[in-house]
Amino acid sequence: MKRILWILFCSFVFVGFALRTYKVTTIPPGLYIDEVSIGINAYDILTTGKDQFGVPHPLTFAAFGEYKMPVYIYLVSGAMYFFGKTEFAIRFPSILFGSMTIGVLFLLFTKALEIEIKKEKIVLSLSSLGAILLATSTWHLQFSRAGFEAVVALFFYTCALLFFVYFWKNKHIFYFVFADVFLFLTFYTYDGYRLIIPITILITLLFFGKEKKQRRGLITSSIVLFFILMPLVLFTFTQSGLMRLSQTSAFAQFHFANWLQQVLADIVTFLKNYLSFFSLTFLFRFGDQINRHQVSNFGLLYIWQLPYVVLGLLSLPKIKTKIILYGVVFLLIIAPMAASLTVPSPHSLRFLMAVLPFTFLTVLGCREVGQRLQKKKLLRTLVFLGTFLIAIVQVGYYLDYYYIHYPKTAQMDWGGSCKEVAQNLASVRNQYSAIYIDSNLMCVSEYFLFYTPQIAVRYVGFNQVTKLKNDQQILFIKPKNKEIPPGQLIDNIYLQNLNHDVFAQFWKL
Amino acid sequence: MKKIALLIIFFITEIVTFFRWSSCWLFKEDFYFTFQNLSTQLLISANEEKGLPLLLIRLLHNKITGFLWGILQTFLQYIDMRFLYEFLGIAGAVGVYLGFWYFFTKKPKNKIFWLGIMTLFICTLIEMILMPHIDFSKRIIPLFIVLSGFSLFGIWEFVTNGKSRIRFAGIVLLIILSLCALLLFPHSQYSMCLKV
Repeated sequence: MKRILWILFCSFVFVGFALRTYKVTTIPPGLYIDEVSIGINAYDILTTGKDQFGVPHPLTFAAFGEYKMPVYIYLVSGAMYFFGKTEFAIRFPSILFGSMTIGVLFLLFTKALEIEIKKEKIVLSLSSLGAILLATSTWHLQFSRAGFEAVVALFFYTCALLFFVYFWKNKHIFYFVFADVFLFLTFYTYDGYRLIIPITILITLLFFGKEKKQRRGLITSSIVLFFILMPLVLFTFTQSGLMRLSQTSAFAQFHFANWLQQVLADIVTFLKNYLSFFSLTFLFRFGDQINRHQVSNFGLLYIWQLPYVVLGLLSLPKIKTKIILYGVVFLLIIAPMAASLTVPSPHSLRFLMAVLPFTFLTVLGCREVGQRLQKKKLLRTLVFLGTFLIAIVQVGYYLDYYYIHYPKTAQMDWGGSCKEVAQNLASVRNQYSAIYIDSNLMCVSEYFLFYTPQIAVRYVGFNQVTKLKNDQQILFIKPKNKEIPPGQLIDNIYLQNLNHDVFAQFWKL
Repeated sequence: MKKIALLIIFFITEIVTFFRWSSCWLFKEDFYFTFQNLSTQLLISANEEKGLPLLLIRLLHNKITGFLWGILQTFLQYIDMRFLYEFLGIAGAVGVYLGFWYFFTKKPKNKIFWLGIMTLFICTLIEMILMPHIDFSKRIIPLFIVLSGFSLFGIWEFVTNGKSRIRFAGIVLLIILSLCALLLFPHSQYSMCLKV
């Protein structure tokens, strides 16, 4: 069992890694704004030991009016040591930990199902199915191919769950401590877990604390964990810490004069947001409709999973092992909790944690079909074969849309052609004494700071350009629009879309 | 008696919520399937596949799979949580899902409920494909009857099983929140329908 377990583990991680690295520097097409910010900070940490604003080895990184969690940035720093200041380095931690999550999920399912199901073959088949589902999941694949901190946080959280299962089986405090270490890492990786981790600690204490022998160890471990989380917990309640929440708060949208009305409106808003995460069109059809989070026409889960998820849910009460039953229900309940406090809602990135229970429910649904059709072997084979064929077609569709259509349709969501603009700028830089960029061009200064840090650029409004003194050689970069500056058009930067729209124009003033 | 009173109040909340929809004349685009949209989408998708073999393009983008796909995806819109809490209120939406839960987990199954499922399917199919030329508010009444039937069944089963006091209190809270949502956000249904 052990040998085959590790062979399967390595195979799934390898498949996941291959799917996540193929053409990763060009698809998604460009770095999005947060990835660039991470890249700049990581490179500064690597070369100077300070962040973008000169703070030595900070615990939180200031960026775009908010504060980023430290773990992903330090991981990118490490990746940049090996791969240089490249797009691949920024995405590498996400790819690596995303692929590893598949392996950990496989172990988690195996260890959990071992308690419930006695037949080894069935356990291995079901957990392998779970790993394959995660490896090809539109939801997880989309995020683990780009520099999203949530992917690394999900890996740590899955590891914590695995150690909780080990603890449940072996009753050794050592496993609980390990789980706590991973919860700690999750907390310092992604904003969304600031609410989830304290609740997880509390629930695990209540769940595992029933046995007297373990109680002292559990409480000590949890107190230690709580203390090492303190710096960030305290930071959360400062003005800077609350900045992100205030920017995205779901409760800032509606203002009522009466306090009671305001409280009720906030509760209703939270409840509506919470329920929206279980919307079928969100899960299976549209996703959250943020192009960076999905390929259009695909939801978070494949539509063939729908009957299996439903069957999985219906068969959930039959599960006898408490840790599985309560674990799945807990994950389903807790996953949208923090995200419901924010807008837009539903949001697939903030809900990424739910990929675990939904994958498990699909696996459980398959098991249910297998059991219900145990005596009708031909029908069972036909059902599974049919599902397999539909799943293959859907994965094929997804890969076609992801690799062929997505780069053409989503370029603007991934920083447009800012890289080309910066590279073109670098090649003509010496011919000009000053460079101005139209503030309407959708490339923030961070792009130039990342790709061409040696070139100083200034952002101006179009009206200011016409007033500039013309005795200098000025390069003006602007989006294509009706405004024509006084000068000569020297170059266009095109998008990859069907119309080959112009993204930016280089004007010599 | 208390439970029957709860059920009546629950149903009144649903009716009041549903009444808001009388100010609409059509659902928004996502609720309908049209062959014209399908053709346009297929054309765009096929054009983006430059360089791939024609057979593969036909396999990936054809009207048969596009139709099945589109119908299935549109159907989800009518049993979607976000649609249901605007259509029947928060309590109603929870009730519908509870109804589905008890319907599928309970044995033996009542024929009336199978009929309900069939009616739901037919109502939505007619709405999303044919868009008949009768008044919208009348057209969606059958949909309301089926969905509220499921929600009433779900709520009844919920409060009569398990720790009924806690469950009773939970439903009362949901009804209160549904009414609050109606009062505080009276025009929220316009995110899903077009005004008269």
